[in-house]
Amino acid sequence: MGLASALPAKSNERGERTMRSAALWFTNWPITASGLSMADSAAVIEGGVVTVCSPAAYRHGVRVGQRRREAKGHTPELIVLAADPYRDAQAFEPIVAALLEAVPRLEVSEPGLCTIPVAGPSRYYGGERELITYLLGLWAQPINQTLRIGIADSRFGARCAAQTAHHSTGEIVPVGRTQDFLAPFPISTLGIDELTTLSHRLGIHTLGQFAALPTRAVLSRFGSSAAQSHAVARAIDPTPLAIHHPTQELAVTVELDPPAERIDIATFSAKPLVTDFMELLAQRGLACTQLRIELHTEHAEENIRLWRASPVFDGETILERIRWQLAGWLSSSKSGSKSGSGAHVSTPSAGISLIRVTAEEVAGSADLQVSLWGEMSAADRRAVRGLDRVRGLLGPTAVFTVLLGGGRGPHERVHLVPWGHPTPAIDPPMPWPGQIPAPSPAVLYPRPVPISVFGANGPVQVTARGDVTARPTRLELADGKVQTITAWTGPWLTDERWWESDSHRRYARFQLITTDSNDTQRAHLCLVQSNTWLIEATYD
Amino acid sequence: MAPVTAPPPTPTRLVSDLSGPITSARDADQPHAEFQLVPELAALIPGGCLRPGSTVGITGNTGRTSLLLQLLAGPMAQGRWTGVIGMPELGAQSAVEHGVPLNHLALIPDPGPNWLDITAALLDSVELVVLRPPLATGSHARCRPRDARRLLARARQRHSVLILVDPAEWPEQPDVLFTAEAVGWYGVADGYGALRSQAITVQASGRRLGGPPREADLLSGSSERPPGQIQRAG
Repeated sequence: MGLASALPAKSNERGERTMRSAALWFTNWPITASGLSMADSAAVIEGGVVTVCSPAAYRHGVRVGQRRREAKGHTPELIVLAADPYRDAQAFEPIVAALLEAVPRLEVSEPGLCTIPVAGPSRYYGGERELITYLLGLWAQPINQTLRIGIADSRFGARCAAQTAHHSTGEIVPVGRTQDFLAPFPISTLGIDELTTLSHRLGIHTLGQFAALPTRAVLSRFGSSAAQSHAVARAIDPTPLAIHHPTQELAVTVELDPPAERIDIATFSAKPLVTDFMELLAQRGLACTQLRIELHTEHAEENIRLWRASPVFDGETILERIRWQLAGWLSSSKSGSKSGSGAHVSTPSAGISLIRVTAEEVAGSADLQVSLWGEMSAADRRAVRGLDRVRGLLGPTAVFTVLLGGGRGPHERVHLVPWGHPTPAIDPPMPWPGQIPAPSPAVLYPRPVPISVFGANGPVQVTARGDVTARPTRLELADGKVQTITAWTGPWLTDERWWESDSHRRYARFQLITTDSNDTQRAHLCLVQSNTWLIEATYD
Repeated sequence: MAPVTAPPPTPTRLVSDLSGPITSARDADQPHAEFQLVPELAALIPGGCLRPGSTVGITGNTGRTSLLLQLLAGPMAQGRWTGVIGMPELGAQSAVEHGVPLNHLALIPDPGPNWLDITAALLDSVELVVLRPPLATGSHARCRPRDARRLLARARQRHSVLILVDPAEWPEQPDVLFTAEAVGWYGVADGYGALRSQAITVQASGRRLGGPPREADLLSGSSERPPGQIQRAG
C-alpha cells in the first residue's frame, strides 16, 4: 500500500494546505517518444497547427501555433509527427518505472509530466538539491537534456518552476516564497480561457495581481471555480476543491475472461467498468481527482499507476488513462531500450486478467460534483453561481448542502455542510443498529420541543429498567395546548457510549400518534432523557 | 380516530423506485422545459407538469412537508436544482426516501431580514425555489403586494418555479394551491409496533385548473407488514 498511503499535507501560517512538490517535466516529450532527439528539426502538428516543436526546429523559426505550410516554409527538412497520446504514454512507461524505484509515490499528469511529493525523498537523498541531482542522473544523455525539475510549495508552483528551470540544476523555490515566485507569470498560465479574457479586460495580467485580490471579491465576482484558481495563484495546494481521502474504498474491478492480450480488447472490456465507477461516485455525490489503475495478469504480474486529473476525472478521461497504461505496459519492451533508462520494465508474460480502478482522492458534495467550467450543464453552472452569490450576500455559513451519514437518531444522520466547504469525514450511511426504520420524519426540529406527557395518574416516566410507569394518554405543549395520544409505541432504549463517562447518554424514544381539539392528527418522534420529554421530529 | 388496525393501502410507487440515480443532468438543459411531476401528483393538474414561471402554494395542517418533498422529487429527478429558504426543519433522510437527490439541494435555513433579495437571487439561478415566508412578527414585516409581484415577475422572467409553503400571509394568489391532509399513520399500536407508512390526501385547486378540486392519495413508507411485532425493549 506504499502507493496508496495518504500524504501528509502541511499547513502554512494562514492554515491553508500546502504540500512541497517536485514537478518533472520532460520538454517536448512527443518528440522524444517518437525516437527523435532535440537536435532533429521535428514538430507535432495537430489539426494543421504546430503544437510541439523541437529546439532545432525553433532555431529555424518554427513556432507553436504556426500552420503546417508556414512551418514547412521555415525549414523544408522539418519532420512532421502526428499527435498520438498512446505513443507518448507508451514511451513514458519506462520513465515512470525508473522513477518509482527512486521515489515511493508519484502522480502522472500526462505523458511527459509528473509530480512527486518532496518531503520524504529529499530527506532520504539528503536535501532538495541532492534529490534533483539524483533524479537528473537517472537517465542517460538524450533524455536528461530534456528534463526540467522544479520544486515549490504547491503542485502548480512546482510545474511553473520546472518551466523556468535549467536542465542541469533544476529550480528550487524556497519554502514560503512560491506565491512571490508565481507573481510575474501571466494569468493565462492558469489555463482557463474565460478567466484570462475576463481578467485582461479588468486590467489583471499577472498571477501576482490576481492573487492580491481579496478572496471574497474573487468569489462574488467570478464564482467558486475562479476562487479555486485564486488559491492556486496563491500557491495553495492541491486545489481548493474539497479534497479528501475516501474512508471507504471506492473501487470497481473487472475480470477479463479470457485474458486480453491486446490493448483494444482490454480497453473495450474496461468500458462497463468505467461506467460502474462513475455511477459509484455519482451515488455518493463525489468526483474523483486522483485515480489508481491496477492491471493484473494471470501470472500475478501487476502494474499500478496513479493518475491525477485537472480538475476531475470523467468517464472518458478514465478510459483514456486505462488505455495509456495498457499501452505503456503491454508494449514496454520495445521502448525500454530506446529510453536509455537503467530500469527494467518487464513485459507481462500473459494477458491482462483483471483491471481495477480505485478513487484515491475525491472531492465531495454538490458544489464539487459540478466541477469547473465546461464540465457541467448550463443549469448546474447557473445554480452554482447563484448559490455563490447568495453566500456572498449572507456570509459563509448561510447556504448548506446536506450529507447523510450513519447514526441512530434522525439528527445524528444529517450533516449540513456549508456551501463550498470541504466535505467532513462522516460515518458512512450504512444500516445502523438501533436505527429507527423508514419512513423518516419529514420535519426535524433544530431545537427539540419540550412537552409533558401524562397517563391516567399523572406524568408518564421511563423507569431505569426501561418500562413506562403508565400508558401515555395525552401530551401538553409548553404553551398549554393539549394533544390526545391515540396510538403509541416505545420505549426504545439507547445506551450510548457507556464506556466514556463524559459522552455517556441514556435515553428512550417513542412514536406517538396524536389528535388535537380541531381533529388534526399528528405523528411525533419523541425522546425521553432523565424524565424530560422532547418532540424531536414530526412525521409531517 | 387513527385507523390503527386498518390495513394500509397499496402504494402506487415504492420509495426504492424513487431513490434511483439521476438519469441525466443534461436533460434539464432544455430551456424552459416543463417541470414533470411524479405520477401521483401529475394526475392532479392538467398536463401533469408545473409551468415554468408559475407559483405553487402548499398548505394544510399535516402532511405539508411530505407533499413538498413529493413535489420536488419529479423535477429534481430530471437534474434540476432546488433552493429551500427558511425551512431549517426539513428532514434530509425523509427527502431521500421521497426521491429527492441531495446533491442538487441547497438549504438556506435562515435568510435573515433580506429574505426577499435572497429569494430573488435564487430565482435567478435555481429552477425550483421553496420559500416559507417569515411570519409577520417581530423584525419581519408582512410582505408587501409590490414585493410579492416583483418576485413573481422574476420567476416568470427566469422560468423558475416558486413554491410557497404556508402562503397564508402571501398577498398574491398562487397559480396552483395544494392542500395536504393526514389520512393516517400505520404500524403504531398501543405500546408496540413501529411506524411503517403514512398516508395523506392532496387536493389541488387554482385559477387555471377549472372544474372541481381534484384529490389524490400519497403514501410514504412501506406497505409491507412488519416482520412480527417489534419487541418492547427493557
